[in-house]
Amino acid sequence: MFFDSFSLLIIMKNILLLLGCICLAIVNSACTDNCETTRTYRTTVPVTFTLAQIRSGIASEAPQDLKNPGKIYVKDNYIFVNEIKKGIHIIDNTNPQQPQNIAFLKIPGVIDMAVKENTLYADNYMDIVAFDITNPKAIKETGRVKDVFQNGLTDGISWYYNPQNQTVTDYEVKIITEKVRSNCGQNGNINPIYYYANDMAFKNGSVQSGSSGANSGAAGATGTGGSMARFTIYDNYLYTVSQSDLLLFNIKTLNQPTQLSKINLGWGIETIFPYKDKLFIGSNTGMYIFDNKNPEKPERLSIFQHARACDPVVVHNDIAYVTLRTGWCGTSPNQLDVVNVSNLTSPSLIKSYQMQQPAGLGIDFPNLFICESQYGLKSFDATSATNITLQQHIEKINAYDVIPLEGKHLLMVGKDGLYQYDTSNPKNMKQLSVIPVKREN
Amino acid sequence: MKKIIILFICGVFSMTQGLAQDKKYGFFKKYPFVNITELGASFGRNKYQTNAYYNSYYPQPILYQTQNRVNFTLHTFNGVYVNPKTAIGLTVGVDSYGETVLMPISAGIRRNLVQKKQGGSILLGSLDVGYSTIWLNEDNTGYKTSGGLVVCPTIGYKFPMRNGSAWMMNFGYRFQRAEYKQQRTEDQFYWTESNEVRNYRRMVVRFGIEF
Repeated sequence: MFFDSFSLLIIMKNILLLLGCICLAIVNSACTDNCETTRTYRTTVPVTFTLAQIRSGIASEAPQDLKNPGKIYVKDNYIFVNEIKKGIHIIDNTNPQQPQNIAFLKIPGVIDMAVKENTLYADNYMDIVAFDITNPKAIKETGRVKDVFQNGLTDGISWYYNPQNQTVTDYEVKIITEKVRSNCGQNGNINPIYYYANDMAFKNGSVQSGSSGANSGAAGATGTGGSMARFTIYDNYLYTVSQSDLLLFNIKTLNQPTQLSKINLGWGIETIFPYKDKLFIGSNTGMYIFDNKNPEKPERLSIFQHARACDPVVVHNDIAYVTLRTGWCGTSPNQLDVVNVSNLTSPSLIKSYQMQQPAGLGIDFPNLFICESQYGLKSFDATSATNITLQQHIEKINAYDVIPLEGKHLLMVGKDGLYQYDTSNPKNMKQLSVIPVKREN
Repeated sequence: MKKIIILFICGVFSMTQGLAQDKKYGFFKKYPFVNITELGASFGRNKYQTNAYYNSYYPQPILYQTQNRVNFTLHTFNGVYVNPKTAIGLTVGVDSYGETVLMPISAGIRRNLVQKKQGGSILLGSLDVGYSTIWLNEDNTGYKTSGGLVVCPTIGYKFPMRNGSAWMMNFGYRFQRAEYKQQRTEDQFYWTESNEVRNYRRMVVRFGIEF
């Protein structure tokens, strides 16, 4: 009996010791919730360049892979593909079945380009630069107009020029993964992300895309840009649009452009599309029509207003085709508007057609080609404006921008690459070639 | 679905309890049925970063904030005595952690460790190991909670009553794992997705009754 209670006492002591240890451990950190949030987000991070860095950043380099292609421009046998804000890929398209990527022209901040004869005009953040492209493998800078643009907007990201500090602030898109010790969802939820930490990267505006056999001032002299182009050449003048202005440059001396004038247009200007002696300027609330009889002094004739949307425009035979798309520019329904512009002072809507996610478009009358983003490329018969019918739908490709070319052949750029199609039978287009995009993220 | 499962579990318990009262039933005569239902609170602390983001681009010293937490807990153990001192069974609980309500289902063991004299109070040890379900939880839009491992050892006192039932109070520790996943947000440009791994580590105090 004594032995029993003695052993009981030892057991009790041990248990109490154990209990004490547990209590101590509990009082200590063991009772702190441990929650770790792994968070991945896409955001913009500011980057600042000095003007010297921007102006000396131009270089003619060996060909590079397409990573984030933007607008495309065609001149003779060459295709110019913008690598957004990085440079321009030069592709020799003498044989459309085997296009050759021959060179890369590095230009910081480049978004747009236009070519006349052997001179390429491109933007270099705030400047416009002229290049001699006689030898595409050794391109030389020949002229520059300084401090033309104050700010810009591409792919939803804006940049701005600070004349006081002589710097340009731009934003890079980053996908960030961070691990954070979080509050386990109690007392409010996980801390929000402040995307605009100290950014001014506005989340609206244009997306790259374009289309259509746009301009040709003097046949053969200039190239072909898309309907989303902000640069165009007419006669001896280079027209560019910034966010709010139409800027004119005299390019009589090809390699030495000079600025002529600046016309304020209001906010949200996206594209410029010359048709005959008219200029169609697309903003995200409407389409301005300018008379360009005197190329030095374009005059505003009218405006066709529509819901706030991204709106590439092409014009053929007094009929304008406008695609409206839900996106950063606004929230209108996805549709194709066909507009009668025979009376330029009062354009009128003929008919609207339902679309899926229309981006760039191009016309090679009577065939109308529309890029439907992730839904692919569509070919329509537009013989009758009131009855546009679908001829072919190429699915499973991403289509942003299309340019129909001479000789029943079209160029189409999307997230996956630069495609070329034979359109001699618009009901059965055949893929000629593809230059794939090698995306980093 | 989850309501059906809850009803099914309740049904099984009421049935076993009904059967337990039938003295003629051999199994429960040999292994007496026991139900222990306890109500209590879990105590803990939370330490989290307040300046959490952009650290990879703008490195900055990390600031922490601490908060104490007290949350509700309810547990019910249903089992049988395999010997006069040891009961094994199934524990179903409801644990709240702020917005999140988890319902752990565990295998449990209860053992009388020390009893000084017949009819006196008993030092009781228990252990529950299981998996927490989210049947009682409602998620915010765009988020999904999932449960995980739960381990809960306790030690406490049992005060037997003359009628065979007993009061008890238990002290212990509970570790519970859960995940809180945020689906990628719809914004094509500034999207976010996240996954929070939650390791709740709490001290628990429970009061209950055994019959």
